[in-house]
Amino acid sequence: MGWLALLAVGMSAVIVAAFLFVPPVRGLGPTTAILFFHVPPAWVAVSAWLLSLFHSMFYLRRGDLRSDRKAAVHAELGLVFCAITVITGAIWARGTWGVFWNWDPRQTSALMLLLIYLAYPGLRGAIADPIRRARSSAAYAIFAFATVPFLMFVVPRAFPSLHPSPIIGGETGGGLGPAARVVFAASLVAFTGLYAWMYGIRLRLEMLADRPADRDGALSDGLAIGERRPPCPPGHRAA
Amino acid sequence: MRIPSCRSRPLEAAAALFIKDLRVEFRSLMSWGLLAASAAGITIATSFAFGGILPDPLTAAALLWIIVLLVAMTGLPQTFVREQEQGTAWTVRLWADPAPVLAAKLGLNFLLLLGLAALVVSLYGLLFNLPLAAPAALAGSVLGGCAALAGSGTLLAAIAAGTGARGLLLPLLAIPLQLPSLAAAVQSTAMAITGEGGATLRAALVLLAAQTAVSGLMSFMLFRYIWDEG
Repeated sequence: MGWLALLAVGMSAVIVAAFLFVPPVRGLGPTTAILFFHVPPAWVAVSAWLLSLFHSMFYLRRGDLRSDRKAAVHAELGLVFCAITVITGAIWARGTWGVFWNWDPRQTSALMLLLIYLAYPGLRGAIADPIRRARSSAAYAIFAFATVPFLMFVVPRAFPSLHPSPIIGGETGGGLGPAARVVFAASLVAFTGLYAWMYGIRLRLEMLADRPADRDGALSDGLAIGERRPPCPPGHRAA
Repeated sequence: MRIPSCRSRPLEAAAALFIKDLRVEFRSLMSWGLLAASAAGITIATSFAFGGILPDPLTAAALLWIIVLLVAMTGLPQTFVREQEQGTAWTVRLWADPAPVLAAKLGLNFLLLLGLAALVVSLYGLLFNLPLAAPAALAGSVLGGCAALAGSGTLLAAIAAGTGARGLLLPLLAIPLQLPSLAAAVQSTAMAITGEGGATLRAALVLLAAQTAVSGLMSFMLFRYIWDEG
């Protein structure tokens, strides 16, 4: 629980610092605070989809259903963080451009990715057989990720955009003061921690859903929800 | 009767499967006929809604590709569904490797899309008096757009065909992934209608070719995991 408390404190500190202590950044003005809740979720979403890609490839290579569950959890959480990116982006656009949506290449790309990964849980829900579901989902996750570099990195640079330059290594990044840089890094760490926490919970739920229960609702291995299996004695392998 | 395997000759296998699928389509004429009728009906309704006056080229091109895409969503999985319903899928699996099967299905879906696009463009010409400022560019746009849509749509159609909710699932899976291809096809078609373009038109066509190549390559890599599962 220690690191969870640390995460809560860290996220709270980022929120307070973003709104109260960071001076307006050149090019962003009064909407600067959005930066700390818009860019980190975007990075987390792309990382989550990358992990989903790796686990999908592991599944197709080894046929281990645990990889399939991990891929599914990463893809679904990536969707959540992409939704945060799109919503905070629209709020920022309203403050800066006067409208929530204007089909800017970056907005469009993020929305397309949201739609692409929105189909992933739909696909999983449509297939009852676990093996067929795992194979189809893995193929779709790999196919879908092929669009991520194009939509996330090529389109925003290939088409004229009103969106500020990339934060890391871009003009705006150069405009970040020391305080903003610290808060930005803290926000990145906090969102990654939040992601790791959500991933742990979601994966445990996925694993529990596959454990058969008897008529009284007790799980087949006799462990309560959240209870850990005792370590095996030396020389024995876990079932 | 012993069916000779074609595993050592993938090109022959792909050609044979393509001809088999084409023959099956033309014997029934039902599914492609219905798709053509749907496309014609929607195009006529569009022309009626616009009072026969061609909207600006970008809107006209967008409508054209949306009609093709929506009708194709019904048609793309048909070739896989038919194999399952007629009980021929396992014979095809035993007879040929997945790559020739995909090549044949890709070819068939490309032909289907091309037919639908040609029909819609022809009806546009009749109903809207579509000016053809650059016919070669329009042909290139239609070919590129159909190839890009077939390239990604065929694998997704194979995935959707294996589920119970294929009618709802394919648009959900395919439309977001096909939006970049759709955007490039709309841009190039609009420029072909106006006769403008040059470098921009070439860039859109190159983008379509690149999307076709990437999605085609990915499809060939992944198809066996979908197809072998049955």
